[in-house]
Amino acid sequence: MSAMLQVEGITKYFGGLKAIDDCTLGVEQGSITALIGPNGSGKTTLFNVITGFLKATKGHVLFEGREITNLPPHRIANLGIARTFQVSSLFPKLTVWENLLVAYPHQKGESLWAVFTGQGHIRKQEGEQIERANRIIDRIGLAHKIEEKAANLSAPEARMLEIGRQLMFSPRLIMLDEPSSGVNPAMLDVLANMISELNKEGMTFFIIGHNLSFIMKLSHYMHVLHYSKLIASGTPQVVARDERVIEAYMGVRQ
Amino acid sequence: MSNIILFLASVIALMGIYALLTLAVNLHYGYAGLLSFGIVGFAAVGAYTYAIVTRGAPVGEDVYLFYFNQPWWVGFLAAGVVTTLFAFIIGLPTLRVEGDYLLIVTFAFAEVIQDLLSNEGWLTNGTRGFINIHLPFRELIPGRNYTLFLAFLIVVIVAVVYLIAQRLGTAPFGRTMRAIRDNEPAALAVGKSVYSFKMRTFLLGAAICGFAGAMYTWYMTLAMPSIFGMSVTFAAWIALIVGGQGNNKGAIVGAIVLLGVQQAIKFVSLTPDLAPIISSVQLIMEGLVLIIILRFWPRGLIPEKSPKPPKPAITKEVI
Repeated sequence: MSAMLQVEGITKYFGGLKAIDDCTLGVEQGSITALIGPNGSGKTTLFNVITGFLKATKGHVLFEGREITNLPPHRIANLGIARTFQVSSLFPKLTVWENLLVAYPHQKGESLWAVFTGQGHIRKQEGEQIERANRIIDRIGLAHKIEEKAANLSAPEARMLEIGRQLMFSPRLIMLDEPSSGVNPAMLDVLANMISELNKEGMTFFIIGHNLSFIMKLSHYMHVLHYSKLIASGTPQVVARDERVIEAYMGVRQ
Repeated sequence: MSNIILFLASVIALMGIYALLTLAVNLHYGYAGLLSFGIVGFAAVGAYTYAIVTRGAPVGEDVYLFYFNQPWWVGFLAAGVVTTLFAFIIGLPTLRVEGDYLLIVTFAFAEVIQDLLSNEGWLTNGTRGFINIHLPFRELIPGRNYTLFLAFLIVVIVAVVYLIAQRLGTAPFGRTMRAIRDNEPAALAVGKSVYSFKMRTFLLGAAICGFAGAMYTWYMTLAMPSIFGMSVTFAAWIALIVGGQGNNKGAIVGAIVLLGVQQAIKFVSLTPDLAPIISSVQLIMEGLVLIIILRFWPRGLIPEKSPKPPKPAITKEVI
């Protein structure tokens, strides 16, 4: 069985700098797959290439068997890949509630023609939107902040809202770029619970992690990047004992 | 007495025209975050389109070659359509790049348009421009009362455009525009085609400017290169900052306040020797209003408001 997300020989140059070197990896449907590696190893660059925010120099990205290499980011999102950013990326002047609603896919009210002729259709769809947003707002625990502007949220709240917003368009794969950054230890458990709950409901996750204890507990499978190369893949137990991974994180034993 | 009423009517007409330009700036910048400084360029295109489409054959020293002798409403619609086409050509390459470049390109566009108007006599009649503009319903309402009618007509058009802008702003379209303005990468990450939204917003705003340009020729009864200077763009921007960005009420209020202050000093005196002083003082007043507003109401007189979420749907959830 081929993986849900398949990265084949992706290479990315920034001018003369090789940020990713011939990287091949997969994310299995229904798994929580982690991507770890020391700072500057190319994790975020790989995420950006997969989601279309950067163009690959070489290689292919396949999602559910379909070639998505170098498609524009919004097309990739609409195919069912949601991503978050290293620093929570919200719509600051919109309320928490609007941040959720706006992410609903293919809204009828986004067509100028419908805005002036199809109010009925728009309202009907808005009903579905509101229902979905209500379910998500409870899940991310922000029901009491619904009218707050996103700019006024704390870092952990912003993180939860960002993930919640990406749930709005019912993705099949969620790619989280360092979800634990800026999240305090108490909220970290809430976040981990939410991720494993969603995973049990069938959502696939691909997560960049800096917080190793958080990511080791959560993930089923791990890929390790080091100096732009994939150096190890496997279950957390296997990866944690891998000589090259220990070297990458701790340095060479004298 | 009737002089004052006529004066007020002409002030209201001018306020209405600026309100339209400010609504356009609000669509571009307040909603979609586009740094659009070509407002007056679009207005000039609209104005000259109206003039050329409604024009009769040249007389005397006129040098223009094209005239279509159409009724006013054909000219008015053409003003909107032609301006939209211009905006499409401008937007095609520039809306793909980041904010500041759009500012430079639209600014240059407006300057180029003004130069073209002065120099391409075969199309625009050069610096002479078009005088005796064809006015809507002029033959039905003779004499000085026409100013009252014109003010009324302009207010009606502003009301219609306001309602359209309001519908857009509160629809999902407006919400998505504001989201794109706030954070473009995040908008892409939730699957919004940022370029398409920007383009549609850009075209709509430009069309409004085109209509406003045609109406400006009614107000001035002429179309000349010199009345389409950059100060018009700046006035519309100042009006938006005064009134408050991201909402259409703010745009209207801003235009009324700015033009009100600007025109109020015309009451002072109308002797010829004071005229140059007054026109300078007007600029000072514009700046003063802007500074006072920024000092005391940094988000404008009417700040952006988000629509309330539906309450009942929340309370029935288990807490």
